[in-house]
Amino acid sequence: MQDVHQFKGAHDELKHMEYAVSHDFMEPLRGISTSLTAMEAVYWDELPGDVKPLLDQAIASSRCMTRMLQDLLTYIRLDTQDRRIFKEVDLNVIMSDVLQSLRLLIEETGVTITYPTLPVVKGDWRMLYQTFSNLVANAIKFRHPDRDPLVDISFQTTDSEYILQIKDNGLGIPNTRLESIFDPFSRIHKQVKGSGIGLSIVKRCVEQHSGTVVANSVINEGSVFTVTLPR
Amino acid sequence: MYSLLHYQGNLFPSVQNAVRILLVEDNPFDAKYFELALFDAGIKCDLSTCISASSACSTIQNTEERIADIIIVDLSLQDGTGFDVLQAIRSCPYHRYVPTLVLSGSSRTEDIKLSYAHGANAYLLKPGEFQDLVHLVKQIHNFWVDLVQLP
Repeated sequence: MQDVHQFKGAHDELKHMEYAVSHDFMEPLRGISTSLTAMEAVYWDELPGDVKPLLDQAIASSRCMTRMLQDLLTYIRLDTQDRRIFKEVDLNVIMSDVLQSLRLLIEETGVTITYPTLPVVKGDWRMLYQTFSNLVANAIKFRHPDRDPLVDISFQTTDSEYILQIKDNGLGIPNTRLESIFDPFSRIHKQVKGSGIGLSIVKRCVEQHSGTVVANSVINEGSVFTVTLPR
Repeated sequence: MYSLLHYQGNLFPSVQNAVRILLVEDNPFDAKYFELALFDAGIKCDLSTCISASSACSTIQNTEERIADIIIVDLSLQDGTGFDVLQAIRSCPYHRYVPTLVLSGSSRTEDIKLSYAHGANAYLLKPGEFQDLVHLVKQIHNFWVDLVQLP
């Protein structure tokens, strides 16, 4: 009985947090952001030269915060939304949607992404999309400056599991951080823009499917993320 | 260069056959951004704004004719909710079929579902950047005014 109470208590707390983030943080931030960008769009020519870079900086900061709050909201919602709906999900469709949404990044960076025909799995569409989207985006974002970025996706099927691997030739992750990178707000390569919540979202999504995600890496050479989902 | 933010009245001079937009929004800045965006997008319209749920509901309920061609409703209003306004619109014989779009800062699924359940034609998220708002109003105009056939 106590477990049920605790569970409900934790769930309610998360619901409050969801409301707080959505309402009390994002609303005022949206006000700031719209105001600043309206200034930029409507009054740019009238601004003193010294003010322009200040305005640019304010806009950049508010964009950064907006991204972080959106990711945080996604993370919280993984636990507060109604129980996930498990259906047949074609991972090829997920993959092509992900690539479509990342196409600007893919063009800018010239990354080569290779992947086979993927299986149809039983799962929650949105969560599987979040998982792929975050892992592929990371593989591109954390590329090494000295070489052409390559991302290779592969999968294996066993009697009991699907094993998906996303491999990159990027910056890599220090050994001491291979587990903590899945903690919320954990960031390693701070020069790369990010909220630090992407991998916690991946971990949460994978766990909701009773699966696991593990990172392996050699610093400066690249990383491999292995997602295992039970069949 | 015009000084838009100090302009008290309607930005748009009365134009015959201009599309009549009713905006229900209690935040004066959000209302101003919307007006500015319409102006920036070059959309010729007759814009009216209700700043509370009660004034919107009574405006709709006390009318003897259709007063708007498009209605934009924010969900969080000080003295009520956008859902009350949606209900008033859909139960009014003159506005039952008027394209009514929710423009909200909330991305919660409950809010989205309830809006459609109360008869909203579409649910739109308030963009965080002004240029995106300009783009949004252009899209609204292109679809609901230029493209769609209304009864």
